[in-house]
Amino acid sequence: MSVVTLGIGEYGVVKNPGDVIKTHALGSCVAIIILDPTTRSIGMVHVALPESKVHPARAEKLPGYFADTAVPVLLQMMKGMGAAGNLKKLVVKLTGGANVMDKNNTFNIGKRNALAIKKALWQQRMGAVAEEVGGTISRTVTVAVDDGKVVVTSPGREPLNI
Amino acid sequence: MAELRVDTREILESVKNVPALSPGASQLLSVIGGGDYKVADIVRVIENDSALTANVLKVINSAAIGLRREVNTVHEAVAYLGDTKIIGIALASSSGDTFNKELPGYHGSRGDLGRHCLWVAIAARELARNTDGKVDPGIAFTAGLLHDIGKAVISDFMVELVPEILDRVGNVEESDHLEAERSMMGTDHCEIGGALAGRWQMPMTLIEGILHHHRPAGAPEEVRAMAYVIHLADTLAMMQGFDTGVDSLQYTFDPAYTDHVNLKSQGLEGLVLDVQIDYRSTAEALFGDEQENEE
Ligand SMILES: [Fe+2]
Ligand SMILES: [Fe+2]
Repeated sequence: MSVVTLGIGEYGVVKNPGDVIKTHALGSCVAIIILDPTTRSIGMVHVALPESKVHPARAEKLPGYFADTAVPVLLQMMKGMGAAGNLKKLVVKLTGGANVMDKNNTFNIGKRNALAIKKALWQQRMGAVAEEVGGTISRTVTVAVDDGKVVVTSPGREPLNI
Repeated sequence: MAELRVDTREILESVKNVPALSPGASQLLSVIGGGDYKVADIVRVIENDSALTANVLKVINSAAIGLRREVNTVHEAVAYLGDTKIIGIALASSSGDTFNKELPGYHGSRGDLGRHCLWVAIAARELARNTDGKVDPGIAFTAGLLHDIGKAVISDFMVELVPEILDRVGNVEESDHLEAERSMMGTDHCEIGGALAGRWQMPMTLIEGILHHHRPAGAPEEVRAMAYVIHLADTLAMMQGFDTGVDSLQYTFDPAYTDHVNLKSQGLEGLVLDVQIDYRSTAEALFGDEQENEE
């Protein structure tokens, strides 16, 4: 039984009974959660920025940091857990991607993160079945292997299952 | 306008209960805040304060820095770490528990304030390097480190008000978290931070930076560029999840930073990643492993 806490740009997977995977205070970052009902494994990545082209060298060391490199690396990891040839059965959920309070929306990394992730998923012919993104709240997400529930919390607010 | 829920004078009074900075640290702040300082000035101030000297040497020789041999002089330590990290060490080690306080009025955990302020400080320093020399990176770093210090005082008075503040901001009865603090307590964390900085006898530039970090357009002209730098650094920190709790992303953003900072949105994204990498190594050196594990 272990609790895996992902920092910014990190990815990981859990599969044993009692295991939990989570990431804190997403802000404009987006967490991609992938549940594999066949192997009962749960993968997650904490994506900070939309495009790896702002720092290609860093993207090699920290592929989870950027949306376009995070999606392939997360899928690769799920395949490693036994999801090979079975990608259609994977359940993808997204959360995070908050914005700042700005009427002109000059500063939309949150929105761009979510869009870049969706684009990278489309390229794999995949899509998210549930998402809790946008707004101006910073979210924390926790998933337990035991019930597979994706629980989104924010300080001072009621938890939400997506 | 909501009714006042707290006696504003009581909050201002409580600023006096915060312990004073060590003489070395406050001298360091006035040297930096005065601008135009040299590394030798910083070395001299630290050497005159034995506790500060001990702390600087402890950090430079810590495993996190990973030097192969022991460093025994402040001069060498400053040369290795650079002046901004020295400022961080000085403040972290001489402000007692202030940066490490739990913030119940923001639902912030122990260490959140210090981590947020360090992230903002590093981001402000990097942004200052893109202002055509209008903002000194050392001053920006220091003002960033101090910008939310008022939260350490005002938080205790807000504990009961959290749900109502969230509702009022959520329903747009108040424009943002700062407005809500002000209308329910008659003051806000900027003003209280400014009062604390005044009590710590900080130079005016740093006080102005603290006072105007959420409303940079209202800063006096001489410090306006710096106020925008702190404002933007603070916003980036919250976007990256380095926040102090319920108020994360609950402040009106002023996009006019573009008048002072020469970075387009892609430049900012590159900067965010650089800040993140520097933050990791600095946080480890300043706070040690224990705090990093709480992340
Ligand atoms: Fe603030
Ligand atoms: Fe802040």
